[in-house]
Amino acid sequence: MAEFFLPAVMSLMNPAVLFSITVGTVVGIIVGAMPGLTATMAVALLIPVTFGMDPLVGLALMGGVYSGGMYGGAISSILLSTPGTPAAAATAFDGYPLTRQGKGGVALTVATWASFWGGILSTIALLLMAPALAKFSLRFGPPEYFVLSIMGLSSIVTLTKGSMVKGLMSGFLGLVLATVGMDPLSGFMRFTFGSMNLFDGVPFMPALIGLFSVSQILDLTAESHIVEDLSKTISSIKRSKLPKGLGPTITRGSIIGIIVADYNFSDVPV
Amino acid sequence: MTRSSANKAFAAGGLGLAIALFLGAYNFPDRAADAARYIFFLAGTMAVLSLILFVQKIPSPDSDVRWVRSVRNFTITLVVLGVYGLLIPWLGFFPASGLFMAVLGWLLGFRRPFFLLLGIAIILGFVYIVFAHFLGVPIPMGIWGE
Repeated sequence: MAEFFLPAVMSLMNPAVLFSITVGTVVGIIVGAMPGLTATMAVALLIPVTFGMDPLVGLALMGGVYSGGMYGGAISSILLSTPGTPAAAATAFDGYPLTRQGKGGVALTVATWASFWGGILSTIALLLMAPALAKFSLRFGPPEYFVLSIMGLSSIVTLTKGSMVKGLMSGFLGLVLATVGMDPLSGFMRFTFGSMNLFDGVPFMPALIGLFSVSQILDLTAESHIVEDLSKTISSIKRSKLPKGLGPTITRGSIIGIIVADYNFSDVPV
Repeated sequence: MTRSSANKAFAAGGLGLAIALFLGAYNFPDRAADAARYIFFLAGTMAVLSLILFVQKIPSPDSDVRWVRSVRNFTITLVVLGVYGLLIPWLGFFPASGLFMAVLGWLLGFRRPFFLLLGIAIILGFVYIVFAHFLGVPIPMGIWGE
Protein backbone atom coordinates (compact mmCIF):
# COMPACT_ATOMS: atom_id res chain seq x y z
CA MET A 1 0.00 0.00 0.00
CA ALA A 2 2.94 2.34 0.73
CA GLU A 3 3.85 2.47 -2.96
CA PHE A 4 0.42 4.07 -3.66
CA PHE A 5 0.22 6.15 -0.52
CA LEU A 6 3.23 8.42 -0.95
CA PRO A 7 2.52 9.41 -4.58
CA ALA A 8 -1.10 10.08 -3.58
CA VAL A 9 0.03 12.39 -0.76
CA MET A 10 2.47 14.14 -3.09
CA SER A 11 -0.23 14.72 -5.70
CA LEU A 12 -2.35 16.39 -3.01
CA MET A 13 0.39 19.01 -2.54
CA ASN A 14 -0.48 20.49 -5.94
CA PRO A 15 -1.68 24.12 -5.35
CA ALA A 16 -4.73 23.58 -7.60
CA VAL A 17 -5.76 20.58 -5.50
CA LEU A 18 -5.23 22.42 -2.22
CA PHE A 19 -7.26 25.36 -3.55
CA SER A 20 -10.12 23.11 -4.64
CA ILE A 21 -10.13 21.38 -1.22
CA THR A 22 -10.33 24.81 0.48
CA VAL A 23 -13.11 26.08 -1.79
CA GLY A 24 -14.96 22.77 -1.49
CA THR A 25 -14.75 22.76 2.30
CA VAL A 26 -16.04 26.35 2.60
CA VAL A 27 -18.91 25.65 0.17
CA GLY A 28 -19.62 22.37 1.99
CA ILE A 29 -19.82 24.08 5.39
CA ILE A 30 -22.27 26.68 4.02
CA VAL A 31 -24.41 24.03 2.30
CA GLY A 32 -24.28 21.68 5.31
CA ALA A 33 -25.39 24.45 7.65
CA MET A 34 -28.56 24.98 5.59
CA PRO A 35 -31.38 22.77 6.82
CA GLY A 36 -32.76 20.90 3.82
CA LEU A 37 -29.51 20.56 1.91
CA THR A 38 -27.41 17.49 2.74
CA ALA A 39 -23.72 16.85 2.03
CA THR A 40 -24.66 14.06 -0.41
CA MET A 41 -26.99 16.44 -2.27
CA ALA A 42 -24.17 19.01 -2.51
CA VAL A 43 -21.82 16.41 -3.99
CA ALA A 44 -24.51 15.30 -6.48
CA LEU A 45 -25.07 18.94 -7.53
CA LEU A 46 -21.35 19.42 -7.97
CA ILE A 47 -20.83 16.48 -10.35
CA PRO A 48 -21.66 18.50 -13.54
CA VAL A 49 -19.30 21.30 -12.38
CA THR A 50 -16.39 18.84 -12.11
CA PHE A 51 -16.82 17.45 -15.65
CA GLY A 52 -14.37 19.92 -17.15
CA MET A 53 -11.82 19.61 -14.33
CA ASP A 54 -8.76 17.48 -13.91
CA PRO A 55 -10.01 14.25 -12.20
CA LEU A 56 -7.80 14.80 -9.12
CA VAL A 57 -8.95 18.42 -8.68
CA GLY A 58 -12.60 17.40 -9.16
CA LEU A 59 -12.34 14.57 -6.64
CA ALA A 60 -10.61 16.87 -4.14
CA LEU A 61 -13.40 19.44 -4.61
CA MET A 62 -16.11 16.83 -4.00
CA GLY A 63 -14.25 15.42 -0.99
CA GLY A 64 -13.96 18.93 0.46
CA VAL A 65 -17.65 19.63 -0.10
CA TYR A 66 -18.65 16.33 1.51
CA SER A 67 -16.39 16.75 4.55
CA GLY A 68 -17.35 20.41 4.98
CA GLY A 69 -21.02 19.51 4.61
CA MET A 70 -20.83 16.83 7.29
CA TYR A 71 -19.32 19.36 9.69
CA GLY A 72 -21.56 22.26 8.60
CA GLY A 73 -24.65 20.32 9.65
CA ALA A 74 -23.55 20.73 13.26
CA ILE A 75 -23.67 24.56 13.05
CA SER A 76 -27.43 24.91 12.59
CA SER A 77 -27.92 21.91 14.86
CA ILE A 78 -26.08 23.65 17.72
CA LEU A 79 -27.32 27.21 17.14
CA LEU A 80 -30.92 26.57 16.03
CA SER A 81 -31.66 22.99 17.12
CA THR A 82 -32.40 22.28 13.46
CA PRO A 83 -29.95 19.73 12.02
CA GLY A 84 -28.42 20.86 8.73
CA THR A 85 -27.78 17.22 7.80
CA PRO A 86 -29.36 14.01 9.14
CA ALA A 87 -26.00 13.01 10.66
CA ALA A 88 -26.07 16.09 12.89
CA ALA A 89 -29.41 15.24 14.51
CA ALA A 90 -27.80 13.94 17.70
CA THR A 91 -25.60 17.06 17.95
CA ALA A 92 -28.73 19.12 18.71
CA PHE A 93 -29.43 17.13 21.89
CA ASP A 94 -26.41 18.54 23.72
CA GLY A 95 -25.34 21.42 21.48
CA TYR A 96 -28.52 23.49 21.58
CA PRO A 97 -28.86 23.47 25.41
CA LEU A 98 -25.29 24.82 25.51
CA THR A 99 -26.28 27.61 23.09
CA ARG A 100 -29.19 28.54 25.36
CA GLN A 101 -26.74 28.81 28.24
CA GLY A 102 -24.63 31.22 26.19
CA LYS A 103 -22.01 28.55 25.45
CA GLY A 104 -22.73 28.15 21.74
CA GLY A 105 -19.12 29.07 20.92
CA VAL A 106 -17.80 26.26 23.12
CA ALA A 107 -20.20 23.79 21.49
CA LEU A 108 -19.08 24.88 18.01
CA THR A 109 -15.40 24.63 19.03
CA VAL A 110 -15.92 21.10 20.35
CA ALA A 111 -17.86 20.13 17.19
CA THR A 112 -15.05 21.52 15.00
CA TRP A 113 -12.28 19.66 16.83
CA ALA A 114 -14.30 16.44 17.09
CA SER A 115 -15.20 16.65 13.40
CA PHE A 116 -11.54 17.23 12.46
CA TRP A 117 -10.15 14.32 14.49
CA GLY A 118 -13.07 12.07 13.57
CA GLY A 119 -12.40 12.82 9.89
CA ILE A 120 -8.65 12.12 10.22
CA LEU A 121 -9.12 8.85 12.14
CA SER A 122 -11.88 7.60 9.85
CA THR A 123 -9.74 8.38 6.77
CA ILE A 124 -6.87 6.34 8.24
CA ALA A 125 -9.31 3.52 9.07
CA LEU A 126 -10.73 3.64 5.55
CA LEU A 127 -7.24 3.50 4.04
CA LEU A 128 -6.33 0.45 6.12
CA MET A 129 -9.62 -1.44 6.00
CA ALA A 130 -11.29 -0.54 2.69
CA PRO A 131 -10.11 -3.64 0.72
CA ALA A 132 -11.13 -6.03 3.51
CA LEU A 133 -14.47 -4.25 3.98
CA ALA A 134 -15.21 -4.36 0.25
CA LYS A 135 -14.83 -8.17 0.30
CA PHE A 136 -16.79 -8.48 3.55
CA SER A 137 -19.71 -6.34 2.29
CA LEU A 138 -20.35 -8.81 -0.55
CA ARG A 139 -21.14 -11.50 2.04
CA PHE A 140 -23.98 -9.45 3.56
CA GLY A 141 -27.41 -10.94 2.99
CA PRO A 142 -30.94 -10.61 4.42
CA PRO A 143 -30.10 -12.37 7.76
CA GLU A 144 -27.24 -9.93 8.41
CA TYR A 145 -29.45 -6.97 7.51
CA PHE A 146 -32.10 -8.28 9.90
CA VAL A 147 -29.64 -8.72 12.78
CA LEU A 148 -28.24 -5.23 12.24
CA SER A 149 -31.74 -3.74 12.19
CA ILE A 150 -32.47 -5.48 15.49
CA MET A 151 -29.21 -4.05 16.86
CA GLY A 152 -30.28 -0.56 15.73
CA LEU A 153 -33.67 -0.97 17.40
CA SER A 154 -32.09 -2.27 20.59
CA SER A 155 -30.34 1.10 20.93
CA ILE A 156 -33.76 2.42 22.10
CA VAL A 157 -33.00 0.71 25.43
CA THR A 158 -29.76 2.61 25.91
CA LEU A 159 -31.07 5.94 24.58
CA THR A 160 -34.24 5.98 26.69
CA LYS A 161 -34.17 8.11 29.81
CA GLY A 162 -36.93 7.57 32.35
CA SER A 163 -39.89 5.48 31.22
CA MET A 164 -38.88 2.48 29.10
CA VAL A 165 -42.50 2.01 27.94
CA LYS A 166 -42.53 5.53 26.46
CA GLY A 167 -39.17 4.86 24.78
CA LEU A 168 -40.48 1.66 23.21
CA MET A 169 -43.68 3.43 22.13
CA SER A 170 -41.58 6.13 20.44
CA GLY A 171 -39.54 3.43 18.68
CA PHE A 172 -42.68 1.67 17.46
CA LEU A 173 -44.12 5.03 16.38
CA GLY A 174 -41.04 5.37 14.16
CA LEU A 175 -41.68 1.91 12.71
CA VAL A 176 -45.33 2.87 12.09
CA LEU A 177 -44.22 6.03 10.23
CA ALA A 178 -41.84 3.89 8.17
CA THR A 179 -44.77 1.79 6.92
CA VAL A 180 -46.10 4.78 4.93
CA GLY A 181 -45.43 4.29 1.22
CA MET A 182 -45.01 1.34 -1.10
CA ASP A 183 -44.72 -2.12 0.46
CA PRO A 184 -41.42 -3.47 -0.92
CA LEU A 185 -42.76 -7.04 -1.34
CA SER A 186 -46.25 -6.59 -2.80
CA GLY A 187 -45.99 -3.04 -4.19
CA PHE A 188 -49.17 -2.10 -2.33
CA MET A 189 -49.46 1.55 -1.28
CA ARG A 190 -49.85 1.78 2.50
CA PHE A 191 -51.37 4.83 4.21
CA THR A 192 -50.53 7.25 1.37
CA PHE A 193 -54.12 8.62 1.15
CA GLY A 194 -53.63 9.05 -2.59
CA SER A 195 -50.79 11.54 -2.19
CA MET A 196 -47.97 10.97 -4.68
CA ASN A 197 -45.56 12.69 -2.28
CA LEU A 198 -45.93 9.76 0.13
CA PHE A 199 -45.42 6.93 -2.42
CA ASP A 200 -41.74 6.67 -1.40
CA GLY A 201 -42.57 7.03 2.28
CA VAL A 202 -42.21 10.02 4.58
CA PRO A 203 -39.20 11.97 3.20
CA PHE A 204 -36.38 12.04 5.75
CA MET A 205 -35.25 15.67 5.61
CA PRO A 206 -38.72 17.29 5.80
CA ALA A 207 -39.59 14.93 8.67
CA LEU A 208 -36.37 15.84 10.47
CA ILE A 209 -36.84 19.58 9.97
CA GLY A 210 -40.50 19.39 11.00
CA LEU A 211 -39.70 17.31 14.07
CA PHE A 212 -36.97 19.63 15.29
CA SER A 213 -38.00 23.06 13.94
CA VAL A 214 -41.76 23.12 14.47
CA SER A 215 -41.41 21.76 18.00
CA GLN A 216 -38.72 24.40 18.54
CA ILE A 217 -41.00 27.20 17.29
CA LEU A 218 -43.75 26.09 19.69
CA ASP A 219 -41.28 25.70 22.56
CA LEU A 220 -39.86 29.19 22.02
CA THR A 221 -43.24 30.96 22.04
CA ALA A 222 -42.89 31.68 25.74
CA GLU A 223 -39.33 33.07 25.41
CA SER A 224 -38.15 36.57 24.63
CA HIS A 225 -34.59 35.42 23.90
CA ILE A 226 -33.20 32.08 22.71
CA VAL A 227 -29.99 32.58 24.67
CA GLU A 228 -30.71 32.79 28.41
CA ASP A 229 -27.31 34.25 29.32
CA LEU A 230 -27.00 37.47 27.30
CA SER A 231 -23.82 38.62 29.03
CA LYS A 232 -21.70 36.79 26.42
CA THR A 233 -20.81 38.85 23.35
CA ILE A 234 -20.20 37.61 19.82
CA SER A 235 -16.45 38.19 20.23
CA SER A 236 -16.40 36.04 23.39
CA ILE A 237 -18.13 33.27 21.42
CA LYS A 238 -15.46 33.57 18.71
CA ARG A 239 -12.72 33.26 21.33
CA SER A 240 -14.22 30.12 22.89
CA LYS A 241 -11.59 27.52 23.71
CA LEU A 242 -11.80 23.75 23.68
CA PRO A 243 -12.48 22.52 27.21
CA LYS A 244 -9.78 20.26 28.63
CA GLY A 245 -10.19 16.51 29.04
CA LEU A 246 -12.22 15.90 25.87
CA GLY A 247 -9.48 13.86 24.13
CA PRO A 248 -10.66 10.43 25.33
CA THR A 249 -14.31 11.30 24.52
CA ILE A 250 -13.40 12.45 21.00
CA THR A 251 -11.29 9.30 20.47
CA ARG A 252 -14.10 7.07 21.76
CA GLY A 253 -16.62 8.88 19.53
CA SER A 254 -14.30 8.54 16.53
CA ILE A 255 -13.97 4.77 17.06
CA ILE A 256 -17.76 4.38 17.40
CA GLY A 257 -18.20 6.52 14.27
CA ILE A 258 -15.72 4.36 12.34
CA ILE A 259 -17.61 1.19 13.35
CA VAL A 260 -20.97 2.70 12.36
CA ALA A 261 -19.49 3.99 9.10
CA ASP A 262 -18.19 0.47 8.42
CA TYR A 263 -21.76 -0.77 8.61
CA ASN A 264 -22.77 1.94 6.17
CA PHE A 265 -19.90 0.87 3.96
CA SER A 266 -21.60 -2.51 3.87
CA ASP A 267 -24.72 -0.63 2.70
CA VAL A 268 -26.55 -1.50 5.88
CA PRO A 269 -28.91 1.13 7.25
CA VAL A 270 -28.19 1.16 10.99
CA MET B 1 -52.08 18.43 34.12
CA THR B 2 -50.44 15.79 36.36
CA ARG B 3 -47.88 13.30 35.07
CA SER B 4 -50.25 10.35 35.51
CA SER B 5 -53.06 12.05 33.56
CA ALA B 6 -50.56 13.03 30.84
CA ASN B 7 -49.46 9.38 30.64
CA LYS B 8 -53.10 8.29 30.40
CA ALA B 9 -53.68 10.80 27.58
CA PHE B 10 -50.63 9.46 25.72
CA ALA B 11 -51.80 5.89 26.30
CA ALA B 12 -55.24 6.77 24.90
CA GLY B 13 -53.54 8.32 21.86
CA GLY B 14 -51.43 5.17 21.40
CA LEU B 15 -54.51 2.97 21.64
CA GLY B 16 -56.30 5.16 19.09
CA LEU B 17 -53.35 4.86 16.72
CA ALA B 18 -53.27 1.07 17.20
CA ILE B 19 -56.99 0.81 16.37
CA ALA B 20 -56.57 3.06 13.31
CA LEU B 21 -53.63 0.91 12.13
CA PHE B 22 -55.62 -2.28 12.66
CA LEU B 23 -58.60 -0.95 10.71
CA GLY B 24 -56.32 0.37 7.96
CA ALA B 25 -54.49 -2.94 7.56
CA TYR B 26 -57.77 -4.90 7.74
CA ASN B 27 -58.79 -3.33 4.42
CA PHE B 28 -55.58 -4.32 2.63
CA PRO B 29 -56.22 -6.63 -0.37
CA ASP B 30 -55.21 -10.33 -0.29
CA ARG B 31 -52.09 -9.72 -2.38
CA ALA B 32 -50.78 -7.48 0.44
CA ALA B 33 -51.45 -10.03 3.20
CA ASP B 34 -47.80 -9.99 4.34
CA ALA B 35 -47.80 -6.19 4.55
CA ALA B 36 -51.02 -6.33 6.59
CA ARG B 37 -49.51 -8.93 8.95
CA TYR B 38 -46.62 -6.58 9.74
CA ILE B 39 -49.04 -3.71 10.43
CA PHE B 40 -51.10 -6.01 12.70
CA PHE B 41 -47.91 -6.81 14.62
CA LEU B 42 -47.11 -3.10 15.03
CA ALA B 43 -50.71 -2.30 16.01
CA GLY B 44 -50.75 -5.14 18.56
CA THR B 45 -47.45 -4.09 20.13
CA MET B 46 -48.53 -0.44 20.24
CA ALA B 47 -51.81 -1.46 21.91
CA VAL B 48 -50.02 -3.58 24.55
CA LEU B 49 -47.50 -0.80 25.31
CA SER B 50 -50.33 1.76 25.54
CA LEU B 51 -52.22 -0.46 27.97
CA ILE B 52 -49.09 -0.87 30.12
CA LEU B 53 -48.63 2.93 30.13
CA PHE B 54 -52.30 3.37 31.03
CA VAL B 55 -52.23 1.10 34.10
CA GLN B 56 -48.67 1.98 35.18
CA LYS B 57 -48.48 3.60 38.63
CA ILE B 58 -46.57 6.87 39.00
CA PRO B 59 -44.42 7.09 42.16
CA SER B 60 -46.23 9.48 44.53
CA PRO B 61 -46.41 12.44 44.86
CA ASP B 62 -47.72 12.87 41.31
CA SER B 63 -45.86 15.84 39.78
CA ASP B 64 -47.38 18.56 37.63
CA VAL B 65 -46.48 18.68 33.94
CA ARG B 66 -46.57 22.14 32.40
CA TRP B 67 -46.60 21.75 28.61
CA VAL B 68 -47.37 25.33 27.64
CA ARG B 69 -45.65 28.21 29.40
CA SER B 70 -47.42 31.02 27.52
CA VAL B 71 -50.93 29.97 26.48
CA ARG B 72 -51.55 33.14 24.42
CA ASN B 73 -48.36 32.89 22.34
CA PHE B 74 -48.66 29.12 21.98
CA THR B 75 -52.26 29.38 20.71
CA ILE B 76 -51.37 32.23 18.33
CA THR B 77 -48.44 30.20 16.92
CA LEU B 78 -50.56 27.07 16.52
CA VAL B 79 -53.39 28.96 14.76
CA VAL B 80 -51.03 30.92 12.49
CA LEU B 81 -49.15 27.68 11.61
CA GLY B 82 -52.47 26.04 10.70
CA VAL B 83 -53.59 29.01 8.59
CA TYR B 84 -50.16 29.06 6.89
CA GLY B 85 -50.56 25.38 5.95
CA LEU B 86 -54.00 26.12 4.47
CA LEU B 87 -52.82 29.25 2.63
CA ILE B 88 -49.83 27.68 0.83
CA PRO B 89 -51.84 25.78 -1.83
CA TRP B 90 -54.05 28.82 -2.49
CA LEU B 91 -51.69 31.80 -2.15
CA GLY B 92 -48.46 30.04 -3.13
CA PHE B 93 -45.34 29.37 -1.05
CA PHE B 94 -43.65 32.78 -1.16
CA PRO B 95 -46.60 35.11 -0.39
CA ALA B 96 -47.93 32.69 2.25
CA SER B 97 -44.49 32.39 3.90
CA GLY B 98 -43.96 36.16 3.87
CA LEU B 99 -47.37 36.70 5.42
CA PHE B 100 -46.79 33.93 7.97
CA MET B 101 -43.47 35.34 9.16
CA ALA B 102 -44.76 38.94 9.29
CA VAL B 103 -47.97 38.09 11.16
CA LEU B 104 -46.33 35.65 13.59
CA GLY B 105 -43.41 37.98 14.30
CA TRP B 106 -45.76 40.93 14.91
CA LEU B 107 -48.19 38.96 17.10
CA LEU B 108 -45.33 37.51 19.17
CA GLY B 109 -44.18 41.02 20.00
CA PHE B 110 -41.52 41.92 17.42
CA ARG B 111 -42.37 45.58 16.78
CA ARG B 112 -39.61 46.67 14.39
CA PRO B 113 -41.28 46.60 10.96
CA PHE B 114 -38.16 47.49 8.99
CA PHE B 115 -36.07 44.63 10.40
CA LEU B 116 -39.04 42.26 10.21
CA LEU B 117 -39.53 42.98 6.50
CA LEU B 118 -35.79 42.97 5.83
CA GLY B 119 -35.43 39.56 7.52
CA ILE B 120 -38.37 38.15 5.56
CA ALA B 121 -36.97 39.52 2.28
CA ILE B 122 -33.53 38.03 2.95
CA ILE B 123 -34.89 34.60 3.95
CA LEU B 124 -37.33 34.34 1.04
CA GLY B 125 -34.75 35.70 -1.41
CA PHE B 126 -32.26 33.12 -0.21
CA VAL B 127 -34.82 30.30 -0.47
CA TYR B 128 -35.75 31.43 -3.99
CA ILE B 129 -32.15 31.64 -5.21
CA VAL B 130 -30.99 28.32 -3.70
CA PHE B 131 -34.04 26.09 -3.93
CA ALA B 132 -36.12 27.52 -6.80
CA HIS B 133 -33.44 28.97 -9.09
CA PHE B 134 -30.42 26.68 -8.62
CA LEU B 135 -31.98 23.40 -7.46
CA GLY B 136 -35.22 23.73 -9.43
CA VAL B 137 -37.31 22.45 -6.51
CA PRO B 138 -41.00 22.62 -7.52
CA ILE B 139 -42.61 25.23 -5.26
CA PRO B 140 -46.39 25.64 -4.92
CA MET B 141 -47.41 28.82 -6.77
CA GLY B 142 -51.12 28.79 -5.88
CA ILE B 143 -53.31 31.23 -7.77
CA TRP B 144 -50.24 32.73 -9.48
CA GLY B 145 -49.98 29.61 -11.65
CA GLU B 146 -46.87 27.67 -12.70
